[in-house]
Amino acid sequence: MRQRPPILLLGLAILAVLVSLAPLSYLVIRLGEFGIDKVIANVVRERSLELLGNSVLLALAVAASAVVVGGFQAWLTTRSSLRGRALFAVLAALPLAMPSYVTAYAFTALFTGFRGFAAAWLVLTIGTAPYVYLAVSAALMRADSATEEVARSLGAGRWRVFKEVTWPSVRPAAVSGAMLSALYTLSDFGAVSILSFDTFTRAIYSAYRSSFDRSGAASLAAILVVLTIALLLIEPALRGKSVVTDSHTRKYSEIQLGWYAPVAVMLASAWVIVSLVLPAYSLVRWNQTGLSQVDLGEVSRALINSVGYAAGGGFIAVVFGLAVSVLAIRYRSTFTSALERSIWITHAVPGIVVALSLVFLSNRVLPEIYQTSTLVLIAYLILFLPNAIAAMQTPISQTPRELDEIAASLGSSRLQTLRRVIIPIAGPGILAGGALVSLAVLKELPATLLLRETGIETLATRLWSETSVSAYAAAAPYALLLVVVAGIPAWLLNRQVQAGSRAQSGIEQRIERE
Amino acid sequence: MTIVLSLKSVRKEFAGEGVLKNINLDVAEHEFLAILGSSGSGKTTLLRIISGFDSPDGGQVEIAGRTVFGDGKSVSAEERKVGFVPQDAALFPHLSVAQNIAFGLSKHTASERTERVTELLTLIDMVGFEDRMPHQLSGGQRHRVALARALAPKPALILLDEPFSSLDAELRVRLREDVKRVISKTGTTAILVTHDQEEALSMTSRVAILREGEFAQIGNPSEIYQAPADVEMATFLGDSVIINGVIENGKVVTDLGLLTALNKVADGATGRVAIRPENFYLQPNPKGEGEVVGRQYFGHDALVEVKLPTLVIQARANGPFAPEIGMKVTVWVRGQVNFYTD
Repeated sequence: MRQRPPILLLGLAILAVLVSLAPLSYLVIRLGEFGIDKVIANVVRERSLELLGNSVLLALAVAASAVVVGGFQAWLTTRSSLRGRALFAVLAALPLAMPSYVTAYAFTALFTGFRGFAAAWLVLTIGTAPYVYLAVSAALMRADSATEEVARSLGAGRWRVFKEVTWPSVRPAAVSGAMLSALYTLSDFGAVSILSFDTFTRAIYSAYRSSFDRSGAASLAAILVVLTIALLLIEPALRGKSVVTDSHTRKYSEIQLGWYAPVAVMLASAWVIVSLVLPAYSLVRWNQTGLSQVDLGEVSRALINSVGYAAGGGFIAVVFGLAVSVLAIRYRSTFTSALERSIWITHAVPGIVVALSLVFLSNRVLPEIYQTSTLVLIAYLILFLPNAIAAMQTPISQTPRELDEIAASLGSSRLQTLRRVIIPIAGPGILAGGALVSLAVLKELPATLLLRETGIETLATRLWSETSVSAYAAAAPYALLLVVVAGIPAWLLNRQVQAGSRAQSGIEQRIERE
Repeated sequence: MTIVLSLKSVRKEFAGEGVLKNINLDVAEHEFLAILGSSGSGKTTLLRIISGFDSPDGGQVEIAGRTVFGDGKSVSAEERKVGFVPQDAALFPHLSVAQNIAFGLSKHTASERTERVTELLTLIDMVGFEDRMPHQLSGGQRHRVALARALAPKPALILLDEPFSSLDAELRVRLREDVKRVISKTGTTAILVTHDQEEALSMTSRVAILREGEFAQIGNPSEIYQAPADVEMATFLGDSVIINGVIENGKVVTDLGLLTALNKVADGATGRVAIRPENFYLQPNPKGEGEVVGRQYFGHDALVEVKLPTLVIQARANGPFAPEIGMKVTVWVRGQVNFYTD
């Protein structure tokens, strides 16, 4: 029986969708106001094609390399017999602490001439691989490796086991990770701007800044949105069905690497050097001069503002993300699926476009909130709700539906069941969603840049303004603080993944003893 | 006698196909009823309709005198007071044993809750396990906690959905006894859904056999076993030897000789008789017509295959006295048989 969803959830989800769709509607309205001829003239230009090529190429390249790097790290740290895999597990998640424009800053400050496609590809892969790593390692831990052992006992070689048994259980996670990476790349503004690689976001920003005619920026934004929608449409087919595993029978064995171990260690270490050691070295080096010139009052004000925004953004994302996820999973219908999908669509709108449209919308509809923190938080909700939902959906859908029914048979209402059963069981995943959003907010640049209250500077905006005048030393303390502050939620997130794996091995030992 | 559950003309379709066709059933207070059916018979659907997780397409469901479905009403699962023990126990993994049992007692005071939890732990013989987490329990313990959890709010009715199917044979037998004892001690009205006839016959006081979405027969275990409603039922519930027969002078004439029918049938009628393997008596006789051609020895008894001139039968014989392969025997039929007119 399809049960009626609780009104509270429905209300929150509809509100989230309305708010999320506002920027997209603005885009369409603006395009209409400019006139179709002008828009077509803007779209069909060599420049647009060049930007399209650049953006697509970069997004595909980053998604592919993020899956390769993140998937390899996940497999190595959860399934192999590699020594020191606990350390590699921490190091794999660590780049989460580094916003990609900070990485871009670190590399440009270290190597003159570090710019263009290859530079952007590397920097964005460093930024997105941890997302794939976290999703895939969680899926690998949930997957029952007894099935892998059975497959091997049936004569399947390692490659076939991977292809036919392991891959299907991690595929949804890997594909969502790749999707997230591609979307991240398409909407990245800071890194490509610092590295001077012309993608849509950078072009939109310069079109907006350099001319009073907004139709150019809006037209480019339209192409970008269409691009993302295309990506969204193919995603379900790529993702496949999620594999439900029986929580009682889960156990996993280690794969002996043998002679491959040194190769694996070398590959993993090389990536650690590129993704962590080099940027860290750059930060330390520039801080040696930077810290001596710093204005402590200015830095601490920026820090407080950043943390405040991150906490607020994380909280509202959890509240709305939970409502949308629970509706989409537990009360699945055409309507609730449409709600969930439409939130994904808005993730396509780059931060810069969301920010511009909110400036316009608030001026026209709600001038009171223009240049207040409320508007900034709304922008964060629009931008990062998909991240929260992506992180929450897996744990919620893996909470057995049967438990809901048991709770109902014991007299628990739907909202009570949510509070007493779903949230506690899926709690770690929900918190992970909140942490991911807080991280994203801390790192967020374009919307904060355009929407912040007058006089309020965050770590990100300070870093941006110093870097844009090549004041690498002055920017260094902000870069360092961003990494440290963003590192705390990343560390918590990772510790939780680790704790999860420990609890699981505990269960496994007990089952073995029975 | 109070009726706790009443189903009237309940039907349900999936994709245009009738899963439940015309279900009528009354369950009295303190009764323990089994719904027996093979997979695909619609028994799980029926269970979900009673518990409120699914709605029927028509008919009426009454629980404890209240219409919970029908007359345009549909009471949600959480308001039905129907306890539910699922196949794999499905304990809340984040709650301890005591918290699991207390889950349905949220409207009670803390002291009432503690008292009830202790009472139930005593009943399922698991005092001292209060603070254990589900993953620290054995399979049998999980099922006992699941039963206690369902009983805690004193539901009008509890439903057991194949609760033993995931357990090994020895544990299953022990748990069946435990569950039977707990249910009769608490006087709870219960419905057991199962595909295991031994389970249905040994645990409950009444058995309803669900076949292709309809109740083919409802009765107490011995009726169900001794007098199956039709030939199909006779083979569904345990083994039966089916042979052709004709009624002459009130007796059934078969290849096994003259037999007495349980039911009254007119002379001249043709049909089939169903005979349980344990109703044969094999008399060793060097001049007998039958020859033992197969023998499965179980210890307490043996299943002996006997070849007769026109047919082969399977007979159950007492372990020590079961004839050996190659022996000649005369086959006798003990007691009366069920005759089914064609």
